[in-house]
Amino acid sequence: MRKLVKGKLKFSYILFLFIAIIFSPNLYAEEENVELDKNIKNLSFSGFFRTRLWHFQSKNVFPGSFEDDITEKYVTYQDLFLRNRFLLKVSSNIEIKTVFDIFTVFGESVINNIDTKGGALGSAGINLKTRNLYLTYALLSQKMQFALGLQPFSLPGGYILASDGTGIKMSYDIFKGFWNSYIYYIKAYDNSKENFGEGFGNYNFNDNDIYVWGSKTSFNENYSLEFYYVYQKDLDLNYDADWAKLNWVGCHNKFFINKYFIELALIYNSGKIREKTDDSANNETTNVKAGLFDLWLGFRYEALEFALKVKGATGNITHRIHSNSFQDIRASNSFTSLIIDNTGGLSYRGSLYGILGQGIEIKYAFSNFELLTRYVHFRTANKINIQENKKSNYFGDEYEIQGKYNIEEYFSIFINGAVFNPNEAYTSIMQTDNKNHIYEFMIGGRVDY
Amino acid sequence: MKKIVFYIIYIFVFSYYLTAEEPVIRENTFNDIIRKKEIKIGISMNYPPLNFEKDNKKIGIEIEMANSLAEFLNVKPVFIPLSVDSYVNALEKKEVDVILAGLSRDLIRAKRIWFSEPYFQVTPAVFTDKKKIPQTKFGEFFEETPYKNIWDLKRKQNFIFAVKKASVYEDLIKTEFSEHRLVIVENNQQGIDSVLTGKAFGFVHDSLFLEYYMQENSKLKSGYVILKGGKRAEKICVGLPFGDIILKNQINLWVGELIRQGLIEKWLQEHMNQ
Repeated sequence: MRKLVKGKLKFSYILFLFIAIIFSPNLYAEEENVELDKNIKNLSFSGFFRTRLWHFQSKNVFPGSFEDDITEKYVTYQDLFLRNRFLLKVSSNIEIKTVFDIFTVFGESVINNIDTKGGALGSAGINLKTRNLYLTYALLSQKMQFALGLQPFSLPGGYILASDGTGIKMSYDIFKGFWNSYIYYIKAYDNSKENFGEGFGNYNFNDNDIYVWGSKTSFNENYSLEFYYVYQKDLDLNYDADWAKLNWVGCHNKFFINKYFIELALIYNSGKIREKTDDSANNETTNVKAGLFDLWLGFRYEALEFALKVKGATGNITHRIHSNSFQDIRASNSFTSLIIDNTGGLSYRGSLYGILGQGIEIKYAFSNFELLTRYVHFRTANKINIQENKKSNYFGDEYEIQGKYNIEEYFSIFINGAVFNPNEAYTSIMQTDNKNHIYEFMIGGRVDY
Repeated sequence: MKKIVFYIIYIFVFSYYLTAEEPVIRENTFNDIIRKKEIKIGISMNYPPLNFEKDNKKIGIEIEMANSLAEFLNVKPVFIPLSVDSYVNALEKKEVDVILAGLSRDLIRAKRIWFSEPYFQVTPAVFTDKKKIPQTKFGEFFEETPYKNIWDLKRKQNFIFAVKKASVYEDLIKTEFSEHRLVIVENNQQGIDSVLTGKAFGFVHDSLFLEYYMQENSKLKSGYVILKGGKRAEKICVGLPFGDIILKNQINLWVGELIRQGLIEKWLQEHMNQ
């Protein structure tokens, strides 16, 4: 018995010494501190947390959400979103960047593309998503930049492309920054095979090669110009008959004259889309010739900002693959809260083909409060048959009000209300006689870090 | 002839010593302050919220500090407003005993004057027009890398900076943003105006001043934004004459106590809200 106790004591003593040595704070402290300091010093974190409570209501039809015009329908849900950006500066020339989101939705699962099954991680579809994972490499005193990996790709305004994708990006500055040229090669983007619906994704093709060349310049402090060329070759791997070969040429101009500012974007789109028809091996080829424009005339006087906006794209509003329908790779446009929108909640679409909008926007700031009001009148690019021998392109009107209160520098709450008043072209497309309004209401909060 | 050569060499050597930047030693400043029962405090002309005028009265965090320092030393405070390029000379010429004027610690100044422990920390920041920064947010989820601080502007090569002449930020922009265009302004208001009129895209100053300015002019919030300096910070210290160790010890003790008692934080809140 005594031997056993002695043995146990000996074992405890050895164990104590082992633990003491292993966890001794001083033994490896110097080496660990050096590593820890190096990483922490070179690491940057940023991001934001956002939560929004949505409420939609209508007795009318709205694509993807309200399917009939018989009863008054309501949708209410809450979304929660945490964005995390990590940047590790490996050396003065190399950075590794990653962005990941934690996202979930609670509430009714009525809205298309929003999974509202629950809140726990993993149970509501994709809760944790890697958006970006790429490195940047700078050369020639930062004048030349390379980026490689899963990264954000966008073109001005997001009319053609605003998406994360895998590929290579290169940019080069000359003439002391007066001129910047860039080249993108994008091999694939997330869910490129799936059709997200109107304005999201590109057909069912998934073998993508996208090439972009562009340049930015500013001749003086009052004028800047960006112009670009995009070529996309998109094939369907499963059905080798389908493909799209499309080109875009665009420019984006910004003028500042004292309190006035003008923004003008023009894009010409051409190319061919070949689809396999249903009944035979015959293929149908569509030659695309389309255009997009966006004009913004603004005036700023102290806390007041007033802007006239006109934007639209050619096309047949009901047929995306059409000879004059403007094509996009993955657009992300937000004009209003309900009709042209990609910021959450109800949305008729996030791209522009076949629709034109013109309206006014007024912004006002006082103390920590910012207010925005907007009115936009929508028309379809082509006239729609309303009745026999009667055509119209009057799509509807949208009214919107947004408020934002900055409680602290990094914490704000916001509120948004929008009403869409449908007209003849809309009701005809939706095959209803109902002209009831469609309402959207949102209240939320956001903390940046 | 030998004499002429000797005099030329003598004048040359003497003039070298005259122009060399050697610190002026003032080791008896503390004794002088106590003996005269008066402390001459160099303050900035106008530097809200540190020091500014309201209803014909000087107020601000540094005015509170100056009164507190005089009380601690049991002497009378005398305020002497100075321009930013005369701080060091005023200390050397005994025009002032200490400087309390949002003075940033830097190695060039440290060759000629001493600094106390920092009582404040600010980052370089830029006041800029939102429309001069490229769109980075598209829709609900997608974003390009956002412009969150002044260093992110390295990505925007055609950005035009405005900086105040002889400020630490003139040197900062010239070294860190050497490829960018620069507009030199005489004072803070000219810097702000250069952004409002579009002559420059952003005015660089410390984050504290720009935040105060934005709060005072909340009408600018819809169209303008402040990008701060990220991890890089400027240490704001009391400027002291070179060589007086007793004065430095006493000032450091006083600064430490102000921080411990939370008085600087309290004064900051009070004056930011004014």
